[in-house]
Amino acid sequence: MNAIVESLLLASTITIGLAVTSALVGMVLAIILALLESTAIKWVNHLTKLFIMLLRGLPELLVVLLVYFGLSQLIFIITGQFVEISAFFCGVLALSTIFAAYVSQILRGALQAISPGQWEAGQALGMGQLTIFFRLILPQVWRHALPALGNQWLVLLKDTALVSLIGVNDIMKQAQLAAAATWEPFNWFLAAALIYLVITLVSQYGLKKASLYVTRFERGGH
Amino acid sequence: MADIQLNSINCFYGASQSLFDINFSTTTGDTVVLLGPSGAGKSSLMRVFNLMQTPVSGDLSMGQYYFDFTKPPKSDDVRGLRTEVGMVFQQYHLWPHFTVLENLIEAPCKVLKMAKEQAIEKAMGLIARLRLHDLEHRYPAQLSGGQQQRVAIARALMMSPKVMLYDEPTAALDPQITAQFSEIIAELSELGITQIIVTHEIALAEKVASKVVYMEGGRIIEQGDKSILEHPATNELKHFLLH
Repeated sequence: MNAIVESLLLASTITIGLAVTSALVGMVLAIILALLESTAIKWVNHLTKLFIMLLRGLPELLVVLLVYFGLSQLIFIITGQFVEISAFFCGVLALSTIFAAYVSQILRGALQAISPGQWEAGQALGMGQLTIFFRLILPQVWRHALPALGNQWLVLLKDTALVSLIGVNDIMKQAQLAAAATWEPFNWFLAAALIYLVITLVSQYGLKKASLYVTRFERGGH
Repeated sequence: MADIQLNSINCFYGASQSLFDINFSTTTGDTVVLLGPSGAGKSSLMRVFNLMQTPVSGDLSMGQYYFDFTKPPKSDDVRGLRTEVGMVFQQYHLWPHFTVLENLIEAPCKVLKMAKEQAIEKAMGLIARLRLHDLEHRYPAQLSGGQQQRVAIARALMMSPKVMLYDEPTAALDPQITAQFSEIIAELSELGITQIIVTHEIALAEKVASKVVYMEGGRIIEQGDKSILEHPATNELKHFLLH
């Protein structure tokens, strides 16, 4: 019994690792997608829109399976060699791409909410576009985007359960294994539910703190 | 030195022409007021001085910089020019996530590569000169309109500009703060900074201008020293002064 509890706790760290890595990679991808979608170069703009539309139009589980089976197939076509790719890597790739597709739309909306005058103030002082974006605009984007980003993070956290199907030893997979081994499915799925809830509650506390930080300059008083 | 000369400037805003054949010159230390009703093209003209708006024809010379607008300007030259031309926007456009001090040191550190300690020292000097004592760690949302304007002026002055541009600087300010603004203009004028102010307020022009440019419909109708406000030569300016 102790061994099962231990492996369930270990699986929790895998779930958290998977979610955090996917969120970080996904955030970088989302910023790139949001910028590409806002660019004036039409073909880049259309191609980015198409990519996002495809990802948002497919079930998450299908994307996970397509990435897992498609990636080795693609490498085989290109190199002629079969390469086994880690399920964790495929999980991160699939989840971060899905996360990026949704978050890019949140970031694009938040970017549009910032007054063009903020860009102009930087330009008028001779600052370059990249400096303006990363130093002046992006920090303001978070205050508009954070509530929706928080929701997306919780969705991602729960989507990690999908990668149990490609063999990642996450909470869900471990709960299934424990249920099969002990014939007590309800107890182990309940334990998994409690772990997800704890992670979610801690996340919500963190998001509340982050929200206070990114809106610190809006509050009155001295 | 920042003598400025504009020759035959034509500018478009979208599909419509905003400036028509503008010829203008000013000498170092002048305080030029661009006067005229709404939609006269004053702000468009002002944005030509730091190339926030690029004309389709004509040329601009300012200090070491020369731009012939029949060719696209080089981005390095544009950025170089902008480091010498400070701009104070009507809405100030302070960066809300930075404190007053951070607003001031951002551009000198990033653009001029000034050391942070040196930038802070310079910023503290300007904070004192512009009567912003004890406000350096506040965020823009915690300041009054007048204080925000002085921070915007200080932010532009941090780059040691040769020219300062102000877009409708007193539009949202009460008379007392407007008087303070006039004092700042006079102080900067004594330092030899060329200043260009867009306004539709005749009282401000009378107070601070050494040169007045009156515009309507994207054209300069009349320009000269401050005396044109007392003795206008054109019916358009006469009419504007009466209303």
